[in-house]
Amino acid sequence: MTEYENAIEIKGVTKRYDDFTLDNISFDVPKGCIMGFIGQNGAGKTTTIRSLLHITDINSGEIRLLGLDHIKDETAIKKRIAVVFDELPFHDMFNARDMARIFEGMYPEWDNSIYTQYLERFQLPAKKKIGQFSKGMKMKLQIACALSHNAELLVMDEATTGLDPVVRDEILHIFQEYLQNGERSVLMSSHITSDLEKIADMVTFIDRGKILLSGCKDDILEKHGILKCDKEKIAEIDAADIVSIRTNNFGAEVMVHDCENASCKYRDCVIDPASLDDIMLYYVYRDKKEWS
Amino acid sequence: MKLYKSLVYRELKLSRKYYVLIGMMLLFLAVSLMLVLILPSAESISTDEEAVLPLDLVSIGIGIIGGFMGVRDGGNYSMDVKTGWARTVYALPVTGKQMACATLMQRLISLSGAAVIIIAYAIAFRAATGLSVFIQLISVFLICAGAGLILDAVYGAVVRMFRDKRQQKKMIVAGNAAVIAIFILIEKVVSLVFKPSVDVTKVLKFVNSPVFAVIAIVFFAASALLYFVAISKSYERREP
Repeated sequence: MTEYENAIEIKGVTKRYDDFTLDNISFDVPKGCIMGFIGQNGAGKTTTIRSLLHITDINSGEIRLLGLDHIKDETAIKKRIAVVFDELPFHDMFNARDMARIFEGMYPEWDNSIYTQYLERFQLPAKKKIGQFSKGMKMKLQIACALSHNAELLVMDEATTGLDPVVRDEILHIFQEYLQNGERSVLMSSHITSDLEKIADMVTFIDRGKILLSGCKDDILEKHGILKCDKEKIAEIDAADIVSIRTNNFGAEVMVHDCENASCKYRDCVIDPASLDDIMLYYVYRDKKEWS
Repeated sequence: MKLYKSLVYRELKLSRKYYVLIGMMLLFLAVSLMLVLILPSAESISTDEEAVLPLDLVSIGIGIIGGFMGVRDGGNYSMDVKTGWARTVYALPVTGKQMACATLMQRLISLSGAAVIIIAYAIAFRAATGLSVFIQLISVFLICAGAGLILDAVYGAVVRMFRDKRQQKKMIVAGNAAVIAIFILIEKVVSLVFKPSVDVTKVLKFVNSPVFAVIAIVFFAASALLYFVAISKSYERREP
């Protein structure tokens, strides 16, 4: 088995469609870490995931998973990773037991006892047809399948979208447990930033096919802030400090990307901490600069 | 081997209703034909070659149906696209060749089921009439199974080209159009070979000969190979 530092390494990847381009993106997911992959719908999250799973060919760049080339070592990689999609890709007529029979032949490390434990924990009936499952049950089944073959890397594409907060919280808790040994890593794409705020160690922001930010979640949250001021004050703020400005009837909220520096420079203004949601929002409007 | 067991299990489980239906249809046909031969009202039917000829031709029908229908996908391709499995396969540790091999194995299993019914029919036919239709039935069965595999490969490749739910309609129309086009082509070839002036008895004699059996075996083997290549290529092809 190969030794690796980064579970995922994406270097200069470009994928062109007629109406969208994933533009020279680069980021790493270190081993043992949960990386939140954030972006609005259509930002390029799914294209990135499809590219790294080699569902689609890329135009240029390099992708390495678990230290291996994503095309040359495809089968070896896929034995050691698990993928959870936003929708259950299993036929309605199968039941949970059938899925075990299908996957146990594919994954050398498939463990039926772990799978059964997850089914019991999630209260999923083994013999009931999947077509009769609720959305939450379907997602839990997909996660049970993904976690039952000792995968070193878990890739999730909008896996918690459409689930109620109770189920989402339960699933996030399972992921945290799964990562406890420090040998496993997760790439979790979502536009529900509250989920990532809870569990992610690192975050990568993508917008219109470009990576805007990538790094430690706490550092990103610490560096960004929302500076509150009057509209007249905006002119005094250095454009280089601003991500974008949101105006309203009462004044302006300016996202700054260096909170410490801004608090020294603009002592008469209040700077509130920013959430991942805020950061995503202000960066999406970065070209407009001023929005309401 | 464990991998193939899993993949074939999946294919068979998905299409079992279709194959049970085809099996029942074949059995019904075979039993109906045998009843015509053995019922007292049919005693007047002479067992000489001329009189048995219509039954001989009808018997070939069982081979044609068994061969063509026994290798069709039973809706698996389109179901795989609809559920997203066609895309999920790329995230699994399975190569295109392994997928194609498993699909081919499943087709051969279902074909062997049809073959059992056809062989049983041939034995019963001989017992009732004293004439052997074994070679012609199996030859026609293999030819049709080979043609069915080619049709299935074309349909499968077309359907798998469109892996998106949004493209379902396009996929079904294109897949069915490809199958109809091939049927028309087969019909043209058959009508060129079997002109009205051709003596049916002679044709049947040729169909019942070992030479035709060899042709049928070679055609079936070539079709199976073509099927494997086409399906594995369709699995290896990545989304644009």
